[in-house]
Amino acid sequence: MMDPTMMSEPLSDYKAPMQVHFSPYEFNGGTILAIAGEDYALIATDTRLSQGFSIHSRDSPKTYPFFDPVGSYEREVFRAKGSASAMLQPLLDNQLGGKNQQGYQKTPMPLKQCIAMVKDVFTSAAERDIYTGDSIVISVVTKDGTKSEQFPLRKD
Amino acid sequence: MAAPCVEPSKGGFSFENCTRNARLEQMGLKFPKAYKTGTTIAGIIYKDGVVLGADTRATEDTVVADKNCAKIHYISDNIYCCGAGTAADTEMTTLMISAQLELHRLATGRAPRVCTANRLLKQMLFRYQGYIGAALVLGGVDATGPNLYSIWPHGSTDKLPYVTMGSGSLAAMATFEDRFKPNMSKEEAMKLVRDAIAAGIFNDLGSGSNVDLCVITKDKVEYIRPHEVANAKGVKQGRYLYKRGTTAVLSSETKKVEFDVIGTEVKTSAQPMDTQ
Amino acid sequence: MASSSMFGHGNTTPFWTGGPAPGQFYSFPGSQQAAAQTPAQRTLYPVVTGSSVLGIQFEGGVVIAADMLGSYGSLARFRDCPRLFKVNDTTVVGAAGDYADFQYLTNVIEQQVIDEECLNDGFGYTPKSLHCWLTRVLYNRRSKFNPLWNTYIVAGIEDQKPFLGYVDKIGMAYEATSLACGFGAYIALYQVAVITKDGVDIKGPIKSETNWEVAHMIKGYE
Repeated sequence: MMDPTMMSEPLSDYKAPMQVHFSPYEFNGGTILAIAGEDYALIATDTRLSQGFSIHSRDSPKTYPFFDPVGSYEREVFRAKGSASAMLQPLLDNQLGGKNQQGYQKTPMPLKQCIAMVKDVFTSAAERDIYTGDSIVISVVTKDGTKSEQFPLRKD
Repeated sequence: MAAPCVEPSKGGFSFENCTRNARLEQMGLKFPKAYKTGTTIAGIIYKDGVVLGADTRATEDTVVADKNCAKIHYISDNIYCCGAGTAADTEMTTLMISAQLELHRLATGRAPRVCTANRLLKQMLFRYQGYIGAALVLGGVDATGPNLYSIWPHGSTDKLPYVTMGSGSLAAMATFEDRFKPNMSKEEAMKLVRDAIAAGIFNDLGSGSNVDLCVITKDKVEYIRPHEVANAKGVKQGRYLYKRGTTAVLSSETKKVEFDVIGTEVKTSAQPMDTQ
Repeated sequence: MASSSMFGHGNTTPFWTGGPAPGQFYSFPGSQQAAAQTPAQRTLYPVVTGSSVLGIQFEGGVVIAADMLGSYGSLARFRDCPRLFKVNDTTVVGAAGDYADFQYLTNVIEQQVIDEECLNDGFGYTPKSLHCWLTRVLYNRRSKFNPLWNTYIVAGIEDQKPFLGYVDKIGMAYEATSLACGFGAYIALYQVAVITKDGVDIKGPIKSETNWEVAHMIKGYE
C-alpha cells in the first residue's frame, strides 16, 4: 500500500504481544433467507443497515449477483440467517419441512405461494426484531434467469 | 427517663449487595435481565399547559417485548410522568410517588404541586444512587401554572420549557431545537410533540410503534392513547390454516367426575331463550 | 516505551536499553520471557477529533457540510479545522474522527492526484472510484489492526448524477441520498461545499447562530 511503514517488517516474529483498544468488528444487523423450490431458487434479504440503536441506511440490500443462473442443489432446501433467523427458521421448518404436523404430506410449494410466505415471515420478523425492517429484496432464480422484487416493511 | 441508647446506631444506607453483585457478575455469574425500554419520551410547555408524549415500544435487548406499552404514568389528577429506562423501575417509582402525593393531597386538602412530585422523585432516586434505573419526564399544571421537569436516574433534575429523555432523546430534541417557540397553541404543541416522538420512533431502533400523548391544562387532562399509529402492521399475503388433526394427540382418557348436588335454582329469563 | 522511568531522579541508567540488569542474563527477543515484558502498544484512539459531516443530494448536485471544530477530548481545542477536502472539480471528501489521520490521507490523495495528472491520460479520480478506493484502504488498515480513525463521506457528480458515499474506519461502506456521521447522525441539522456540474464551490467558514430566546424562562432546576 501507499504507506511505506505498512510494508512487511523484518524480524516480525520477534515482537512482543500487542495490546490494542480497537475492535475491527461491528454488528450491522439484517436478516437473510434462501429457499430452493422445485424449479426455482429464491434468496431474500432485508435492506436495513444499522449500528447500535441507529439506522445507517434503509435501502442497502444484502444480495450480490454471482453466476447467472445458479443451479439448485439438494443440499439445504431452506435456511434463514442473521438477526431474526431464530424467528424465521421455525416457520420455514413448519411450512416447508412439515415439522410438528401430524399426517403431513410433502408437496412442492409453488413459487407464488413461496414468495407470499417469504414476505409474511419478514413482515412478522420486522414486528419483533429491531434490526429487521424498511424493506426486503427477493431475488428469484429460474431456468429463465434472475428476477428481483422489493417489498416494504415497517420502518420503526 | 428513657435509658441512654447504648446500641451503635446504624446510619445511612448499605450498598454492600450492589458491590457484591458487581463482583459476582465480574466472576461470570449471569443475572436475570430487566426490561430496558429503549424509549423516546418528551414534553413541552405551551400557552395553556403541558403536552407529554411517548412511544409505545418496550425492548428486551434486540427483541420487541411489548409493541404497545403505556409509558405515560399517572401521578395525580393534574400531574403525569413519562418513564424511560428499566420498565419495572419507572412503573414502581411513579406508583409510589403517586401514592405519597395522594396522601399529601388528603392531608393538605390541596391539589399537589409539580415541584413537590419532582422533589419526592429526585430524593428517592438520589437515595438509591442510580440503581433505580428510571429516567423521567414529569409534567403538570398546578397553582403556579404549567411545570415541566426531566429527572435523571441519579436524582438530578432540570426545569425547562422543553425536555426529552430515553434512547431517542437526541432525535426528539433535534425536532424541539428546530421548531420550539414559547406560547404555542394547543394544536401546534401537540403536532410538535407528535413529530418529536415520531423522529424517535423512526430514527432510534429502541423506540417504535405508536405515539401516545397527554395534554394537561388547568382543569382538564386529555390522555390520548394512541394519538397516532405511526406504523401500520404489514398485511399477511398467505393463509396459514391447518387441517383438523394436524396437532398430534399423544394420549386421551375419559373420566367420570363425581359430584354432589348442593342445591337447585330455577331462573326465568326476560329474553326468550335461543334454542337451536 | 517502558524506559521513561529510568531517567527519573534517583535511578541509575542501566547498561543498555532493554538489556539485562547487573547480575541478570540477557533475554533474547521472542523468548518465553518476552511475554512478561510490557506489551508493545499502539495508541489506537483518536486525539484531536472532528465530529459531524452531513451530505445531501439534490436535483443536479450534492451538498456536503462539516463543522470546523477540532476537539481534544471534551475540550473545544481548535476552532478552525476545515474538514472538507476538494479532490477535483467533481469530488469532495468530508471526514470525521482523528484529524491527523485525515490530514495524512489528504496528503496521500493529493499525491495520487498529482501522479494521475502526470500520466496525462485524461483519467482522474471520480467520486465512485475514490469511494471504492477508500473502502479498500480503510478495510486493509483495520485488518492490520492499525486503522485510520475516520469516517469519510465522499460527495460528487459522476455521469451527470449526484453521488454520496460513506466509509467508516473498519471499511463498512454504503451509498445513500443523504448521509450524516458523528454527532450529526443523531441530530441531522460550518463549511459547506456545493457540487454541481459547474464544479465545486466551498463556502465558509460560516458562523452558526445560536438562539437563546427561551433562556429567560429557565430559572434553577426545581
